[in-house]
Amino acid sequence: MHTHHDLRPAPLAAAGAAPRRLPFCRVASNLGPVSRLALLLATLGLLLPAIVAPPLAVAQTLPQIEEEDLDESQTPIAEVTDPGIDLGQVQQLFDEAEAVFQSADQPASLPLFGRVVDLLESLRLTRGLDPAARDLLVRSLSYRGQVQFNLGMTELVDASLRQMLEVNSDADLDRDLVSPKLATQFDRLRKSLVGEITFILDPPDAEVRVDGEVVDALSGPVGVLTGLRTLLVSRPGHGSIERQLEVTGGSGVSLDLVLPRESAVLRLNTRPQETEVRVDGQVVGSTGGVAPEGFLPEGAAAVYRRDEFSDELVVEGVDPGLKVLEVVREGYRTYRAELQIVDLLDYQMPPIVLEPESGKIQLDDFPPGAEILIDGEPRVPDVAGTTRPQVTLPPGEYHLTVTSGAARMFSTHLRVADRQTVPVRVRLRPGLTFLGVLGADRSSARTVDQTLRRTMAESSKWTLVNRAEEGPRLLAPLGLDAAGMRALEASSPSAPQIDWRAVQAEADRRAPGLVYVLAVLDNDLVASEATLWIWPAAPGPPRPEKVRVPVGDPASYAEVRGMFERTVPLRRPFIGALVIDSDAVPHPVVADVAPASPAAEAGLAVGDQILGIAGITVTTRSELEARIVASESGELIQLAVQAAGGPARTVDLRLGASPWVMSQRDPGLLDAVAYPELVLLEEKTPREQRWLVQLDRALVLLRAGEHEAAVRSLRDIRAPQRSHGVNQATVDYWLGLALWRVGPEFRDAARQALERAAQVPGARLDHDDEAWVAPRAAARLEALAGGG
Amino acid sequence: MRQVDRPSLFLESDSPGGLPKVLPRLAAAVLLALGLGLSAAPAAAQDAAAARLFQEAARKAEAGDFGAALDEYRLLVRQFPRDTLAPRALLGIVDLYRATGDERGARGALDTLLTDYARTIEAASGFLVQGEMAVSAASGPADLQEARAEFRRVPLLFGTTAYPDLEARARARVRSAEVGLLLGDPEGAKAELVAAVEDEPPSPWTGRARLLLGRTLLDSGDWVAGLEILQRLADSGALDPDSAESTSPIVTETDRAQARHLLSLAHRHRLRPAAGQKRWTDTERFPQGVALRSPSGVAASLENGQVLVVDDRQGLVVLAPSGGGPAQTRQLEDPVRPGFYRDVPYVVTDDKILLPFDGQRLSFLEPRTGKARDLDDLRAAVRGPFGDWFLLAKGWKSLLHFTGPRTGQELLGTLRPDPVDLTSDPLGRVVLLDARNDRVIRMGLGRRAQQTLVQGDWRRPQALAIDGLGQIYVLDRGEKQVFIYGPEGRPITTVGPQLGGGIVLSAPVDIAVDSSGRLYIADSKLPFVAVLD
Repeated sequence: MHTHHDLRPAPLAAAGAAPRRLPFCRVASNLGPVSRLALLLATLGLLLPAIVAPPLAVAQTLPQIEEEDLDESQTPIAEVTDPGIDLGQVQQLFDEAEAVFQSADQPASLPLFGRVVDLLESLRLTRGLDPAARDLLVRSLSYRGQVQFNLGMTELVDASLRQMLEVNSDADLDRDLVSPKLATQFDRLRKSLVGEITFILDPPDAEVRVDGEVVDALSGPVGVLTGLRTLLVSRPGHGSIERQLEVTGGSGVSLDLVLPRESAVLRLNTRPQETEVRVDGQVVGSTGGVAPEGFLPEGAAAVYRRDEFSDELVVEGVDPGLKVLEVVREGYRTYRAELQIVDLLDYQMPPIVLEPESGKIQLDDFPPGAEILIDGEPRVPDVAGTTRPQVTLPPGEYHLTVTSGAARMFSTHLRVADRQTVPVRVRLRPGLTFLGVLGADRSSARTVDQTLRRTMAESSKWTLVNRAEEGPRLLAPLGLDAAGMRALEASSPSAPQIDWRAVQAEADRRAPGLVYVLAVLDNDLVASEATLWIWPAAPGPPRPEKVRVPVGDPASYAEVRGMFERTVPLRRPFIGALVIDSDAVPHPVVADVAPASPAAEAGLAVGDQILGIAGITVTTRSELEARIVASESGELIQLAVQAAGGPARTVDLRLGASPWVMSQRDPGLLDAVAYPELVLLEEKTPREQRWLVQLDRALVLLRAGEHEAAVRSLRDIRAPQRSHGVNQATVDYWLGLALWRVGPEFRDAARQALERAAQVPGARLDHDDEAWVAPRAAARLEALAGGG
Repeated sequence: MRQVDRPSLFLESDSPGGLPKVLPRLAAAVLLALGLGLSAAPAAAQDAAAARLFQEAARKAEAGDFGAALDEYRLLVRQFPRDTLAPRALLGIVDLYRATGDERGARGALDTLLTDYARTIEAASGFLVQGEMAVSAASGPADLQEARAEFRRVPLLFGTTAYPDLEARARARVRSAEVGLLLGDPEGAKAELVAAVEDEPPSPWTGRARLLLGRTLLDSGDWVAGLEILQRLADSGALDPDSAESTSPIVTETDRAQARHLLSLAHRHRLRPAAGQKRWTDTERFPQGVALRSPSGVAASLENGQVLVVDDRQGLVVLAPSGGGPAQTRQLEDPVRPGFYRDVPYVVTDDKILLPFDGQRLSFLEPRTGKARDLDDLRAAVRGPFGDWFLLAKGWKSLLHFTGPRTGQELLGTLRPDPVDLTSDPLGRVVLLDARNDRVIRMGLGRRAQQTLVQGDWRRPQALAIDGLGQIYVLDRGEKQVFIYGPEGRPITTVGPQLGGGIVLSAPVDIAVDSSGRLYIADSKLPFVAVLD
């Protein structure tokens, strides 16, 4: 009676043995949650060594063996090249042969089986056969023998059956199907060719190999072909026994073998597969393969599938004592455990799960509904719906982008290390999408690309979204190439017609941002300058603006950044007096005082010299204005004043707050930048001041030639009704101009609007201290009347 | 004294008409700077050979080899008619023809440009050149109307939507407005100037437009709006007047200076009276460091702050800054009256006009047929709006007009006036003082028509001056007073004979007004020129 100890998959209790507790198991402090769970389980006694078998001491009963020197010539070595046989095709051929065998034309199956046999034999001699192939060969030989038997080919029958037994000495015929005569012939042949060996092993699960082939020694006697056979009995943790045995046909021997215990054994499966296993720092093996059917991940590992685990790695040669087990794989945190090995036993480790190395990005001030992109790919945070979501990532460098619609973006480059949480404060800003550099001078293109991106990355107001790789590809179908853009810039007759509205739409769709920048080199060979074409996303005006920069001059790029940094102020202090410079006096002079203005209330009068402000002497009007602009509306300022022929005096003037319309022709302000900023500004501007933002937006549209859009915007604006300063007459003035430019059919409407503007003498164009509307409106009416 | 370009004494080929005096030089500078000129490197030539031809032509033109340059340009146009440089080459041909005085050749090239390349930006420049040529050849209002029509074509054909960055359009608007002002159409001029200021991208021409708009608003009585515009112009990019870095590149220093002058005049003549102050509060003596015995004439530049004084008894000419500073002197024979053309000083002597610090001289033949001798007994001279000369001479009861040293004619002969002095107004129009009829007359552009600006009641009118605001100053030697009138002839005030500071006029002979409104009075009995500041 053979005892079989099933070592897997069940815990050892299932094997009928008392679980052994690891006397001491300490897991390194840097282990992750799964490893810690393993430690906990170990502490609870669940991480157990397997007791394979009681250390039975069985006396070896050696058979009669005639030992011979092995003759190399007997070794069936054949110089057969790998025939490249496809087992699937062999199986197909076998199925065909089997079908023919079962048909009325059984003899026709003979060559087919012969072919199957040849193929499989060839394979057996070259790279060996797995059990299934071996079984297929045996069955083929069995069928071939039957056909030969039926055809009376007696000698050939013997050859087939002999060959069958050589392939598998335990092979047998299906006695329900074959002729009794054939069965008798087979038994006779088997008896002459096969002897039987019964193994009594300690430990019983030792592996037995006969001439290198593993045999099943547990299930009963093992059939072995006659002749001198080499037996090798081994088991991890034990010394092995090798014997040579002369097997005679029909004989039966019993071998009682006891393998000496030499070391403890660790058995482990890992997830993922292919890890390196170290004991006390020495590599003792690598896991690989796939855990077999029946392997059941348990405990914390139960959440993973069987096939995610490696086949069992058996580590032998482990001496008793405190051992450090490490399982290592790149990209994963090393599993490390200290094991107290007390006895020379087998120890089954619970499934070892290596945690991937990872860090986290923690997004502070994350706006609801925003989208996270990691290297351009959408990413769902670990826990959605929080204002501080986290994203777990393997260690590495990443480009993080957070978008809230196309209007607001945040983008940064960051490095994540294992076990590190990188806090990132999300500051959504307008997205400035860089669409790359056109022009064949690659060196200059690289310089422009790097300088522009480096410079704009320092912007405190915009988020640079780098689409330089795909930008030129996106734009090429729309006609935007280097030569065309240069011709366009030079207003050449050969310049292409660019549909900027289509460009806007394509960019908005494929590379969203609020503003787009495309650089075009001035030369394909050795570029010295680049023109930056800048345009806003729709509904901004579909008209690019151009800024020229020397290729490698960082200061120029910084100036461009300055253009993007500009803000659109809505209010500015005002005093309500026109002050001019005169060469006749050393200080600026009051030339006009608006009624009910701060200047009027302070008692300023025409002809007064303004000697100083806040104790600082001023000699020009611009010095005075600089001081006023630097102050706050509502602030009380002291002016030193001298009336004509009178003594110097000091007056207190409380600065008023004036609307501030975006400068019409400010060379430092790009409409392409201002428009999206105004769109964002409108959302956060108090309702009573929104008309000013709307006016600014309308003026951008007007400048861009979007006259109808400008009219639509201007018509909806309701400015404060007041007699002085920027007011409804200001809006009417621009409405009149916009209507005029739409076309002749709106001239009457334009005239009416301009007439309304001309009738408000106190109206100002952009600030309560600056240009008057009425004379301009009168001049425009004159031009309108003249057909201009 | 800073270096200045010395204009030739007679008709200058680069002058578009002597309107506001800075314009011709500014126009030339802008022509070169903004790609309309010929020295700029080609930006988008489709063919390298065309680019080489263009550069070679520009190089030869710059070296003065006009014939060879013409050949290169012609070859380019013939060989590469579709190249972007072809219309620019045609502009080059026009310039070269004009430089050599071949108006017909210039017109031929312009026709080709405006016909074959009608939608190029060079065509816009072509219309500008055509307008400038018409102004140069103008002899009256009809010619100027024609020139204005050429300018007006540019904004009509090259609108802001299709050509947003076209600077030629701003220039055309400004030139049209300037011609309009000459033609007496300030409202039309304002319309064009507002469009230039508001609708055009910033350029020196929009700065110029602001200056003209401010001035025009002042002229039309809209003082506050005009001053606001002028002050903004004066402030443009220049917090510190001494800092070159702070000067805006799109506003010329000349325009800013003129704006400051107008502001100063407005302060003196508008704000001070409004505040109950005198226009002039101090009396000074000029020049410092130079002893005069009998000053006989004084002139002030409106451009560079220089003042020129003539002492006929000593045969001395003194040039000194109006605000004080080192003076330059020259000895001259028979100096009569000083003057400035732009910022270049000249002196009328008995029989010629001299640039005392340059050595150039100019004499004129008597205009009457049959007397081929130089005109003498000159009293005064001034350059007109088209670069021509207007002279007064003893014995000639008329105004003498010379379009060349030998091509003079008498004007106003039938009126038998007694013109004793003449000057030009801010638009360059000639104005003279008629002692016989006690009036100030402004000559029409057609040379024959005239308008009486002031009808006075003087004892012995002697000298005439006009400031930047168009205010008229008449020196009455008999009353020993200066009578001051508004541009429309309304009396404003008088000065003299007591000037303050112990100075009393006894034999005043000449007056001048500088850019900030200081009034200079030369009195032959005083060893200095009295300055009212």
